[in-house]
Amino acid sequence: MIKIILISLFATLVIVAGIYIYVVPIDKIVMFYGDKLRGNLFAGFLTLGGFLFSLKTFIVIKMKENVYDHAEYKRNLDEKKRLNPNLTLYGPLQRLSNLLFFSVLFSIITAVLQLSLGLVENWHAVLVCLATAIFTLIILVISLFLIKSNLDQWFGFLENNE
Amino acid sequence: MKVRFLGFSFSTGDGITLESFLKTMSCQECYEFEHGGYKRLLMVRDIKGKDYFAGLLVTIKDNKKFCELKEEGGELKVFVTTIDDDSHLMEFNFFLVNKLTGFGIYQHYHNSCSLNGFGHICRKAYNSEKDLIIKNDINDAGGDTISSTKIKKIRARYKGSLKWEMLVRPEKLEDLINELESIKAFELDFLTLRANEPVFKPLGNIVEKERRKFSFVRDTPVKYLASEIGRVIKKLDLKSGRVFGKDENGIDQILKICDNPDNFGEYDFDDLAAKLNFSIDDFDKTWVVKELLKAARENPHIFEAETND
Repeated sequence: MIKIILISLFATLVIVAGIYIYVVPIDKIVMFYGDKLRGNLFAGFLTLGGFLFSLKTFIVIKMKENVYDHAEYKRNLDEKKRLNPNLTLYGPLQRLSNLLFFSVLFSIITAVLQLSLGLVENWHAVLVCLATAIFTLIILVISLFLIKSNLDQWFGFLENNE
Repeated sequence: MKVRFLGFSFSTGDGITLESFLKTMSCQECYEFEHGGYKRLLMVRDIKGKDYFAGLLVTIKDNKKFCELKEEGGELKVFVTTIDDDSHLMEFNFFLVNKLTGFGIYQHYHNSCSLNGFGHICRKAYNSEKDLIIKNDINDAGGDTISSTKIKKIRARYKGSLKWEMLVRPEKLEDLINELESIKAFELDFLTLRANEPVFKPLGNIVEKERRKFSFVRDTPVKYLASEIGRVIKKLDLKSGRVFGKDENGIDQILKICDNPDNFGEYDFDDLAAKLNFSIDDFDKTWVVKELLKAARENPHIFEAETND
């Protein structure tokens, strides 16, 4: 989890540094953000946050019921525990749930920031709002791929055990 | 002089299975090679109804005279005997290979072709077969008219060559390493399997077998490495792993650590030679081949078990 956050933070800093270097003068960004981005970013992230919140519940509950609680999965876990006693039944699911929770939280924070800090007509404030939006977007893309990979494993599991 | 049955394993490159290679060899009456300054004849036959191919490697010596030491009237005398013009002095090495697993037994005695030399000769045979197959494929695809990219693609289909490994008991490894001229690397398999918990995904069915390869700087003293590798093997109680090196002729040699008997049979040379009056064409019906087959059947866990290495 920390690895994902650090990678996202690094990527965000690189992109924001790029904006800072290539937009000359930097004050130009305040008007562009106010006219074209603020409203869209607010609406987009609020919608995404709400959508992801319902998706999170669905994914986590379905994965728990159909994969983690399956007798075959528990038997496989017991076998692997002979090699590594530290394995946990719901550890991966809990971490996935945490990541999705943070994705929802960051989406809401980003949406709120657009209509609070984003109203300040200062390029520092605008860059902070843009950085938050970029960071959340990266986290969302990673979550999307993790959900896909979980679904793939779920279908593979069903294929092998049904 | 003792004759010993030594264990080895063969693996082939891409596109040619060991079975098809041995089958092609068995169709030829015999292969002739020059190796180590001697003419060598290599013959292979399929043992009907079994998973094994038997083979014979004959080394033809070019000297017509040999010396004998005789005691006459209380003193030792040297007599030089000349053999007939149509006769040759020879050394023989029988071998047996399981076509499915690649594991085999090589009969060896002092002065006969070493296991490494045998591997080298088999590689020559493999490479000449491979070249022939590639040539046929190129001809089938259009011969000289096809592009160089297409030729490269055909060649890539048959990447790699025949590799041989000598099966060695962990305790014997140090002595054998000392016989090498240089050591390139030491690869060891940890017997512990790992089952790591995925961070975000359900647990899969695969466990990881840990394998480490240590490469050494060129010119590192062999004696020092041999004792250090021996110490590691003893300390970790390793039952599998490989040592990559070069022998005194500069030929690559791989020693494969295996929990196998020291050798798969030991015979007195005179006893064995007494049972060897045979026609070359019928070498696969000799007593030695039957003994090799018996030794392989007594160790099915080595010669008949397929591995993923």
